[in-house]
Amino acid sequence: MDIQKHEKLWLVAGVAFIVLLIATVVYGTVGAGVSMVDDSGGTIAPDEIPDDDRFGEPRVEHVEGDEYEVYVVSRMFIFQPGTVEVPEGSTVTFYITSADVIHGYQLVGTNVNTMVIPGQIAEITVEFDEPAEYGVVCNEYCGSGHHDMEGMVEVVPEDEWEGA
Amino acid sequence: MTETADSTDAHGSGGDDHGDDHDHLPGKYTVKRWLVTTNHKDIGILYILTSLFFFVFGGVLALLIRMQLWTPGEGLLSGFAYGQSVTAHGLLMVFFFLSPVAVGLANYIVPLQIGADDLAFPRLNALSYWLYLAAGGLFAVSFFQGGSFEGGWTLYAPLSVPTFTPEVGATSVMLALGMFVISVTLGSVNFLTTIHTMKADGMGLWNMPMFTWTVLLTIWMMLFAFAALLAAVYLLAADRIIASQYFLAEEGGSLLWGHLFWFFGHPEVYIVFFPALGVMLETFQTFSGRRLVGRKWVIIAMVLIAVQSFLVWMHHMFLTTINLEIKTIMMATTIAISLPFDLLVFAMIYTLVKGKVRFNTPFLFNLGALVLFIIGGITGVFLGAIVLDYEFRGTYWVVAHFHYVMVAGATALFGGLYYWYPKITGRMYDEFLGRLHFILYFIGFNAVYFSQFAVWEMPRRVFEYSTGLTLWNQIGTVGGFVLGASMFIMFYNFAKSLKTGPQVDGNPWKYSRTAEWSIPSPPPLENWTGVPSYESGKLEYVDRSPDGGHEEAHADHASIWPVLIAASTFVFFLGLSGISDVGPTGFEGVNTGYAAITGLGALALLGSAAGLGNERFLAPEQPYGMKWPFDGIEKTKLGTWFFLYSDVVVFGAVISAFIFIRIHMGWGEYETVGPNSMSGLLPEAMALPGLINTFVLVTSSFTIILALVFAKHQHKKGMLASMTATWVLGLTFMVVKYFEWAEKFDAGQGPSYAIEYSVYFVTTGLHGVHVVLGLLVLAFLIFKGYTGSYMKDHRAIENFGLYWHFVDIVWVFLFPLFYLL
Repeated sequence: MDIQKHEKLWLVAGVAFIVLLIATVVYGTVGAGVSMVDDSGGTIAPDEIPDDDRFGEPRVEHVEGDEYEVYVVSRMFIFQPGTVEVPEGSTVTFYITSADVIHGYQLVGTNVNTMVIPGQIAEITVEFDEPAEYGVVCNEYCGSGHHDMEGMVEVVPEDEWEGA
Repeated sequence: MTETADSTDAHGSGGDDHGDDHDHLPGKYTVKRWLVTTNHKDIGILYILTSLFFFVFGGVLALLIRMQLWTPGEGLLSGFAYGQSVTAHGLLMVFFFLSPVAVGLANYIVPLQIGADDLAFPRLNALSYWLYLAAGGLFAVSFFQGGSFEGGWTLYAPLSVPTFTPEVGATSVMLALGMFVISVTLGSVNFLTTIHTMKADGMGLWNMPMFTWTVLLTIWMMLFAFAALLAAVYLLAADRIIASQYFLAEEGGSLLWGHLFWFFGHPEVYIVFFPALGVMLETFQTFSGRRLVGRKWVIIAMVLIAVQSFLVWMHHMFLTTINLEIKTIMMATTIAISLPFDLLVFAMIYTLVKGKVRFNTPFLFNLGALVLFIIGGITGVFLGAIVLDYEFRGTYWVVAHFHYVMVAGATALFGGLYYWYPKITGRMYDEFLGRLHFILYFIGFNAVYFSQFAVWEMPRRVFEYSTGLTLWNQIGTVGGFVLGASMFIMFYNFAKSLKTGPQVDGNPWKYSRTAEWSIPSPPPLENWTGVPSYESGKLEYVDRSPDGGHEEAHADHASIWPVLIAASTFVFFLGLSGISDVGPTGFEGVNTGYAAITGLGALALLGSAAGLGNERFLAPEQPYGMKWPFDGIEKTKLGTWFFLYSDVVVFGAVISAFIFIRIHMGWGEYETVGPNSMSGLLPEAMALPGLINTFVLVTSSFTIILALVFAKHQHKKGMLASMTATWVLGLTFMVVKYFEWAEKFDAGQGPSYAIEYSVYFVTTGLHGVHVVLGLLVLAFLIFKGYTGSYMKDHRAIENFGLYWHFVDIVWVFLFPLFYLL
C-alpha cells in the first residue's frame, strides 16, 4: 500500500493514543488492587432471611483483630442496619442481600458500590483507614420511596467504638 | 443531468395530482392519502413527523425532571410521578424517537441511494409505521391506567412483576414495547430484502453509499437484538398476565432479566447510533468535498462493531454477583469494541482535515455530533473497566456518558434532517436560523450534560442530592430549557421554509455524490425515469424497454389494510393489558371488560389480515441489480427466511431462559413437567402424548411439502387435500395439547404453581401460539386455493411451508427438553 507521509504520522499518533488509553485502564484495573464483587457471596432466598443467623439479625460483627463483618438487609425502603459503625483501621467485609427487589448499596463518592439482588449475596471488602462519615444511597430504582432510601456508615476512632 | 419526469411541475410537488387513476393514490393534501399510502417517501415523512412528536413528548418529561432537580428534595412531582417521568422519558426517547427518525430517513433515502423504486414489501412498510404509531398510542394510554411504569427504562425485575408494580399501565408499557418490536421486525425483514436484492446494476455491497451501509448494519443488528427483547418482554408479560414466576422465583429472577434485556440492550445503543454515524459519514464527504479516507476500513470497522455488539452485554451487569472470570472477559471485549470506533473517528477527522470544509448547518450539526460523541465515547471506556465502574455505576457519570453519546446521535440526525430537507420538500431552509439553532443547541447541550459530569457523585433516578451540588443542577436545568427552546427554531424554520423558502433543483449541495441528488426535489412518485445503473462505472439512466413497454403494469402505492391491521392490534393489546388481575397470590381473575376488548381486537385483526392477504397488490419488481450473497432467491422467500432468523432468536432466548433456570436450580432437581396421562386417557403420566404430537407435526411437514408438489403439477385437488391434511394434523396437535394442559390445570398445577410449570406453559405456549397462527394462515390459504389460486404462483405455499417446518423443528427440540430430560 502506498501511504503518504502525513497519513503514516496520523496513524502512528492514533495507535499510540489508543495504546496509552488501554494501558491506563488496564493499570487501573489490575494495578490499583481493588477487589470486586463476584459470586463468592453465595445465595439466599428472600423468605429464608428471617431464619438465617447472619441476616435474621443484621449487625456488625467483630471477627478477629482488624477484621469485621457486616450483614445488611436491603428492603423497600430501608437498609438494616440503617447506620453501620466500625472502628478506624479496620478491614470490613459487607454481606448484603435484598428481601424484595433489586437495590443498590453505595457509599457516596467512593467505589464501595454494588447491586443488591434478591436471592444473591453481595460480598465486598473495604479498608477503612481514617475516621469518617459516609452516606449510603440506594442507586437502583426500587419503587416510589426510592429517593428516601439511605443509610450511613460511620468510621469512628478506636476508642469510641462500642463493640457489636 | 436527468430528464425531468413529465409529472414534475414548477412547484416540484412530484405531481401525482392526476388523482385516482394513477395507482389509486389520492392527492398529497388529503387525509386519505396519508392513511393508505405505501410509498417509501410518504412513509419516511410519516415516521419523521411522528418521531418528532415523541421527541417533544419525551423532552417535556425531561424538562419536568430538570425542574424537579432545581433543588434537592421533592418538588412538583411525587416520587411515583418522578419515577414515571424518568422511565417514560427513557423509553420514549430511545424507542419512539431516536430509532424511528432514523428509520424515517432510511425509508426516504435508502431506496433512492441504491436505485430502487420502493422497498421490497411496500404494504409491510406501511404496516411497520402504523404499528409504531399504535404502540406509541398504547404507551400514552398507560398513564391513564393507574400510572405508567416507574421502574426505569430497563424494566428491572422483580420490581417489574405484579407483586411490586401492580398498575395496569405498567403492562401496557410492556405490550407497547412488544408491538414496537413487531413493527421493527417487519421493517428489518423489509429493508434487508430491499438492500440485498434491489440495488442497481454495478452497485455491489462495497460500492454502496455510507448511509445505506450504516442502515444495512443497523437492520442486521435489529433483526437479532429485537428478537431477544421480544422474548424478554414476552416472559415479563406472561408473569404479569398469566402469573408465571420467571422473574419472581429465586431460580430465575433478576439475573435472568438482566441477561435477556442487556443482550438486546447493548446492540440497541449501536442500533440507535449507526444511522447517525451514516449521516455523519455522508455530510463529512459532501461538505469537505472529499471522499472518505480509508473507506474500505471504515466499512470493515463498522461490520466488526455490529458483530462485537452482541459480545459485550455483561458490562451493564458488572456490579452483580456474576463470577469474575466472565466479567473479565466482558471487560476485554468492551475495550476491544472501542477500537473500531477509534478507527471510524480518526477516518472522519482526517477526511475533514484533508478537505475544504464548508460550515453549512448540516455540517455544523454533524461536526458537533462528532465532538460530543468523542467525549461520550471516552467516558464510556472508563465505565468499561470493571474497577472504575465501581466508582461510577448508578451515578450521574453514567447518565452524562450516555446522554453525550445518544444525544450526539440525535444531533447528527437533526443534521440529516437539514441535509435532506431540500430533497424532501424541494425548498431550502433558512441558513441563518439553522446556524442560530446550532449555536443555542450546542450551548444548551453542554450546559445540561456537562453539568451532569460535574455532579457525577449524585445517584441516578433520585431527586435527593447533597446541597453542594445545587448550583450545577440549576445550570443543568437552565441548559435543558435552552436546548429544548432551540428545537423550536428548527420547527419554525422547517414550517416557514415549506411555504417561503427558495426552491431548489435536484442538487443544492456541491460535491454530493449519491444517487438521490440526481433526481428532482422532491422526487416524483416513481423515483426514476429510466433505470438507474452503475454498470459503466458511474450513474447513468438506462432505458430497458426494447422488450416492449417500460413497465408491464404500474406498481401499486395504496392499501387500506396496514392502518386497519395496526388499529386492530392496538385494540387487541389494549385488551390484554388489563385482562387479568395478578397479585402476590398469583392469578386472581379475569376482567370481563378488558377481555371483551381483547376479543374485539382479535376479530378485527383476523378480518384485516385476511383483507391484506386477499388484496391484489403489485409491488415494484427489480429484475436487474446485484444480489450477492442472495442471488437466485426469490424475494418473498428471502423475506420469509429473514423473518425465520428472527424467530429462531426469539425461541433461542426463551429456551435459554429455561436452561438458565434449570442450571440455577440444579439440573437434576428440576421436575420434568411434560409427562401426563392426557386427562386420564392413559393409565399414568407418560411422555407418550408429547411423542404423539411430535409424530403428528412431523407428518404435517410432509403433507405440506406434498401440497407444494401438487401445486407445482397443477393438481388442484391433490394440493387442497394435502393442505387440509396438514390443517387437520395441526388441529390434532392442539387438541392433544388441550388434554395435556387440562389435566394440569385441574390439578391446580398452572403457570404459577412452581417455576418448572411456568417455564413449561410459557415455552410450549409460545410454540402453541405459532401453531395456531399457522393454522389461521393455512385456513386462509386453503380458501384461496379452493377459489383458484396457487396453480401458477405457488410462492405462498412454499413460504408457508418454510414457516411450518420451522415450527415443527422447534417442537422437535421442545419435546425432549420438557418430556424426556
